[in-house]
Amino acid sequence: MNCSEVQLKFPEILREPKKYSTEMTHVKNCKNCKSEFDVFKLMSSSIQNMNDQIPLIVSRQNQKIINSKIERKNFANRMRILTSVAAVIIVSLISIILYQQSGQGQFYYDNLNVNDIAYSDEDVEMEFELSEEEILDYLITSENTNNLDEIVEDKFFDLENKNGS
Amino acid sequence: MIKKKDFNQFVKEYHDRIYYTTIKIVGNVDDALDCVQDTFVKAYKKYNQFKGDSTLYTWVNRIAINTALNFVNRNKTNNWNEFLEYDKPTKIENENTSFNKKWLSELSPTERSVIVLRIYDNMKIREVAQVLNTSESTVKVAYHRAVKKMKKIVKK
Repeated sequence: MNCSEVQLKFPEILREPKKYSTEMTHVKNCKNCKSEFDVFKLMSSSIQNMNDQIPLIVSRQNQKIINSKIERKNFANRMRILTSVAAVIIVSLISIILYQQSGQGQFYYDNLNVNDIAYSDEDVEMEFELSEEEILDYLITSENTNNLDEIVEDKFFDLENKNGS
Repeated sequence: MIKKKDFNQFVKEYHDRIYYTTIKIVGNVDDALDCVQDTFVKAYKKYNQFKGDSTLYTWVNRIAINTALNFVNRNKTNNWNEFLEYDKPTKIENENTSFNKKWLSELSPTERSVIVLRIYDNMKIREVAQVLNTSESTVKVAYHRAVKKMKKIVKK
């Protein structure tokens, strides 16, 4: 066991001299270690006795400041969350309003080509029910009769039968 | 997140101990109080990083030491005059008190931290190295230097 190792254990030797009896014996017999141990004891006692230096009022005041800082931190966090949520809501509302004002939905229908719509048989029949003459005029003049051939033939047949009878 | 009430209780219980550790590194009452405030606010803010492998006090003490060391390293010109204000020579002999004031200011921040952790917080070399985020050999060197400096001061 060398002096350096013993000196490193000074705090433990001071706290528990019985447990570190070997080191304690070394300290007693070694002149250098003994003088260093005396200094260490002085240093240790003074550092332990420094504990009474904070007045109670200062301690309480500082604790209050800490609590208020934490409170402020909490409030700031809550405000940050609320602000974020409010911002999202406001942006969403503004987007909806702007969308409605720009009339984008109307624009879609205005630009829709009638020829792009694929009529179903039901739609066509409903239109036929409106007025036969009008329908015939439309069908005769319309270029878009490819998918209505059978219906047109049927209608002509019906009209012929009606006129014949 | 820890409940505010529980944390307030913790502050009440350990404020003074954290302060005593901090002032021994910072050496100035006002700065020490500021550092203690920062320590507890940081601890509250980063409580979710506390893994529970040590006591809450050990964890907060570690924050306190790092906060104090950062403060000292940032403000190289800090003074030690504040010890004069709150000295209570009732428990210590006057001779020891004057020694006390002198020796702490003679040590470097790292040496002060090592001595405080070794003597005041009863930490082992390995634990001190962990807290200061340095090697054990650095801690040993700082410790030996501190004791040597003390010896010189006492001999004067």
